[in-house]
Amino acid sequence: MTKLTTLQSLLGRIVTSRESDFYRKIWGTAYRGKFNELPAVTVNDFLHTPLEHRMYRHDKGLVKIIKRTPIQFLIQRSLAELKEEGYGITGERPTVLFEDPHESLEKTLWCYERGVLPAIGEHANLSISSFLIDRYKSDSLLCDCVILEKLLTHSAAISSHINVFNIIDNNFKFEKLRKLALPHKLNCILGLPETGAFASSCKEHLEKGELVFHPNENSIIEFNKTIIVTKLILMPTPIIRYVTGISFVLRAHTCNCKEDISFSLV
Amino acid sequence: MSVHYFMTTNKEQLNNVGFKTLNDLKRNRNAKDYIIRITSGTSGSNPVALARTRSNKVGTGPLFFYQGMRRVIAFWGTLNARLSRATQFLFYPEDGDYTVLAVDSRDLRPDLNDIFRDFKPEGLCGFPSFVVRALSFIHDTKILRDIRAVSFSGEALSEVQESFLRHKLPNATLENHYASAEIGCISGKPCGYLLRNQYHPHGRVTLENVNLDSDGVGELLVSYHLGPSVYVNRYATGDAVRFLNTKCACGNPITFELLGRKNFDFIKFLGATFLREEFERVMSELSRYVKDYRGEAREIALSDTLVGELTLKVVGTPAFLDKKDRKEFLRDEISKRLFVTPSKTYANLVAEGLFLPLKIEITGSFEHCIKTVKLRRI
Repeated sequence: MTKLTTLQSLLGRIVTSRESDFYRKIWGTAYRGKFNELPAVTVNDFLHTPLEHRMYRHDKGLVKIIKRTPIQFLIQRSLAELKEEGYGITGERPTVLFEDPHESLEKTLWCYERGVLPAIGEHANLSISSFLIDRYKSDSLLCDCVILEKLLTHSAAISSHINVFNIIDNNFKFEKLRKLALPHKLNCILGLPETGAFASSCKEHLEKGELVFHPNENSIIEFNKTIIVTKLILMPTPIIRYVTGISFVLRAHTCNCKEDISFSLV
Repeated sequence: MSVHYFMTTNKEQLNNVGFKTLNDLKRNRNAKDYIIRITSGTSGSNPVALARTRSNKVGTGPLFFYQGMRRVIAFWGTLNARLSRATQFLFYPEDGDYTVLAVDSRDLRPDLNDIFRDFKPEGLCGFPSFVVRALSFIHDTKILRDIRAVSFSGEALSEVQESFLRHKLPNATLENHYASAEIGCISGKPCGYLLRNQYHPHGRVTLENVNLDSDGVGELLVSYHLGPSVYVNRYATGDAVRFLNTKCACGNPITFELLGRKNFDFIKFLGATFLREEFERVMSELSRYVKDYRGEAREIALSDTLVGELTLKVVGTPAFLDKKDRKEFLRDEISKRLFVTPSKTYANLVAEGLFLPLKIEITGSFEHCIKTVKLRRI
C-alpha cells in the first residue's frame, strides 16, 4: 500500500468517524479538497479540546500527560497501533530510559508489543539504572539526548555492551552525541511525545558525521515554516497535519536510501 | 523441563539467580508473561534486579476488583512498579479494554485536578501515601464521587490514611494488598473480614514465620516460583509478621499481620524513607551536640491532605545545652543533612509541604531496653 492510499483510507475513517468530530470541525468542507489545503492543527487545538472529544478509537492503552509549560494535556496510545511505531531497533534486551517517565512507559510498552522483554530505568536514579543495564546485559537503549548524556557521564562503561542507542527526541545536540557514542551505534529518531516518531537518521550520513533525517514509512512530512507531520496510523488521538514547531533545512538526496526526502534540523 | 531450586535466603543470592528465568522466556517466547523488577535499595540494602513471571492474571487479585471499569490511574513511586501494574491491566485480560494513566510525582501540581477531570478515573491503585498526596490536589467532588475502587500495596496503610481516603472518596471500596518487587503478590484476594494490614496468602507462595519473639512476631520467609524452572526457597523478606491462630470468618485457615520491618531499621511513609543508618551518619556529624536520640514519625491530617511529622528526642551534650536557640539550631542542622529520599533531605520535603518542620525535644536520658528501637512510627 502506498503512502497516498494509506492516507486516503485514514482520512476517510476520520471524516466518517462516529467516535469524534474533532477534525471535522477543524476541516469543515475543506476535506473535499486537497490534503495539503486541510487546515493544520496546532498544540493549542489539543490543549483546548478534552481528551474524550479527540478520541477516534477506544481500545486498551496508555494515556500520557504531555507538558507544554505552563499547561498540560492528555493523549492516548493504544497497544494495537503502538507496535506500528518506528522507535528504532529493540535488540534482544532493551532498556528504556527517558527524562519524562510517561515516555519511558510508552516506549517500554512498544518493546513488549514487538515481542521483547524490556527493562525500564529510573530517571531519578542513574545508579539504579546503570545497575539494571549491567545486570540485564542490555544490548540496546531507548532514551532521549538529555538522559543519555547524564547516564554516560555517570557510567561510561555502559556504552561498551550497548549495540544501539535509539535516541528519540526533537532536539539533538549532535556534536555531544558523537562524543558520547560511536556513530554506528547511534540511531536518532525524530518525534514529539504527542506525535510519536516521524523521521529517522540516515546511517550513511551518520558515518560521515552528519545528522540527516528521512521521513518514516508511516509518516508524511510537509515542510512549511516548520515541520508539519501526519501519521498514517489511526492513533486514538490521530495526528493529521500537525504543526510541530520544529525548524528544518532541506538537504539534497546524496545517499542510497530508498526515501528521497532528506532534511536536517536547525 | 527440570526445575532449579535455589536455597536463596538473601538479596545477594537472589541477585545471582535473578535473570535465570530468561531461559524460560526463550522456551515459551511470550515476553508479556514476564516483568523485570528492581528494588530501589533505599532500605539500606543493595538493589536486586530480576526477571520474573507475573503474579496476577485474570480473575485474581487487583484485576478482579476493577471489573466493569475502564479507566484507572496508577500511583507508584518507581517506574518499574508503575510498569508492572500498568501492564497487568493492559495485558490481562487479553480481551479487556482498560485505559491506564500512570502518574509521576512531577505531575502532582494544582492542575492535576484538570487531568482528573479530563481522564475521568473510575479506579485508582498505588502506594497509599502517593494516592493521598495526589488526592489533596483534587477538589472536584464529582470526580471524587465517581471513583469506585482503590487498591494499595507497597506500604502499610495507616489508620489516618484510611480515614482520609474514606472521607475523600465516599463511593470507593478500598483494598489493601501485600506484594514486593522481588516476589509479586504475597497476599491473596482480601475476604472482607480482614482488619487493616491483615492478609491471607496468595496461592502461588508458601510462607513461613521464623525467629519468633515472645509475642509471636518473626521474619517472613517466602518460597515461590521466580519462573517456571526457577524456584526461590525461603527468601527473607525482612518484614515482621505474626500469624494468627484462628481461622478467618471466611474459612481461610491462614491469616497473618504485617507489622513493619524486622529490625525496625527504617520507616517508610509519605514518600520518605527514614533509615537508621542515615540518622546515625547525621548524628555522628553532630556528635559535638547530640549524645543520643530517639525518633518518632507520624502522619497528621490537615484539612485536605496528610502531612508527616518527625519528632527527635535528644540527649544533648554540654556544648549543645549551652547554645542559644539550641532547638532551632539542631532542627536546621539535622533537616538539611538528613536524606530521606535518594536525592532529597528532610528540609526539601518540608519546603514542599510534605512534612512539618522537625520537632526537637530535649531529654535527660532514655530508658534502657534490651532492644533499642531508635526510630518508630506512631
